[in-house]
Amino acid sequence: MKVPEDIKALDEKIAKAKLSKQQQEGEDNKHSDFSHLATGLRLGVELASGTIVGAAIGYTLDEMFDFKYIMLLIFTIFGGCAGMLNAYRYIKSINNTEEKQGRE
Amino acid sequence: MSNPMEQFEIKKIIPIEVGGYDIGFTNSSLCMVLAATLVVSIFAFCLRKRTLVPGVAQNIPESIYEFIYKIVLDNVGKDGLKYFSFIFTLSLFIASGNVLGLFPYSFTFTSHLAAVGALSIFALLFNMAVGIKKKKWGYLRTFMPRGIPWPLAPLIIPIETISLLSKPFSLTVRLVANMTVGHIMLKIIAGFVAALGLLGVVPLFFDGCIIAFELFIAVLQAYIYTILSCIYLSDALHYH
Repeated sequence: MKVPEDIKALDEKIAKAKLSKQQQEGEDNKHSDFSHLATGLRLGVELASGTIVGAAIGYTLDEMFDFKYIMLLIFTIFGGCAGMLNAYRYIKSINNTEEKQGRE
Repeated sequence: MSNPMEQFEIKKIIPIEVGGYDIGFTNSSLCMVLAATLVVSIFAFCLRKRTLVPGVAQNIPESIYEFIYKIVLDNVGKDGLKYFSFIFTLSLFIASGNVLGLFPYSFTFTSHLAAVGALSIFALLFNMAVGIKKKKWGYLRTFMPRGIPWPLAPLIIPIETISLLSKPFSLTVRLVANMTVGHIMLKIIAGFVAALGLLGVVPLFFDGCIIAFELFIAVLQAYIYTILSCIYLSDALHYH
């Protein structure tokens, strides 16, 4: 059976559109590499900032009440825990969004 | 080569002192005023002829508005739209400050911990106020989430408090570090242009590329700041 010209042209158009979509998806994957880098950087900042804020609170308490660096020790540990908690919550939120996107 | 840190020096323009406190008008304050004026005047200029079908000029503020509106809607939800104007102002101020800092002879106020830190602390206080207004005493649950046994309170309460306080800190450090590093890099490479003579074309080319990249970073960091403020606002409104 002979295929009419306009149908052939339509076929070509569809094939082209599919190809460009595949290329677009490839580029999106490249973007996700950047977003992994951003995730890693944010986790690092999150961990460090918890510890620094904890240490700052401990130091201030020591200065105010003259605890001889006990508070600095305790609050640095608390700060480290808080940093890990923030990092954990961040990872959990990423997982939740990915699951949501997967379901959609 | 001149000192690359010189560009972050705060210079007093109008010295003012009230009750022993130095509240002088500095180059940093001037740039903040400029950034705010710039945004307001661009918006006022572009929106002078308001039509139902937007023209090219009207499209610019409208697309920025819709972009940030969508961020608030996606990250905070419908009840967060009440606070849209706050997020909108914050993100435009930071974005314009970042971009303004890239112009020669200007000053990047977003590269100073004090300026961005004050903004972040203000945002944290705002979020706390919003949370307390919505949940009243229930807001205290933020420091002691449901389902945790009471004997653990002495451990959990300080950890949750530090976790809350470290949020504006991480927000600030991220923006300040990005801005500072970019500007130092630009200045160091620009120093090579003069030192290498004719061969200085190579670092000049690099500097051009970095300026374009920095422009991208300036907008990206403002975007990240906006998204994170939205997430923290959402935490204050919905968490626990």
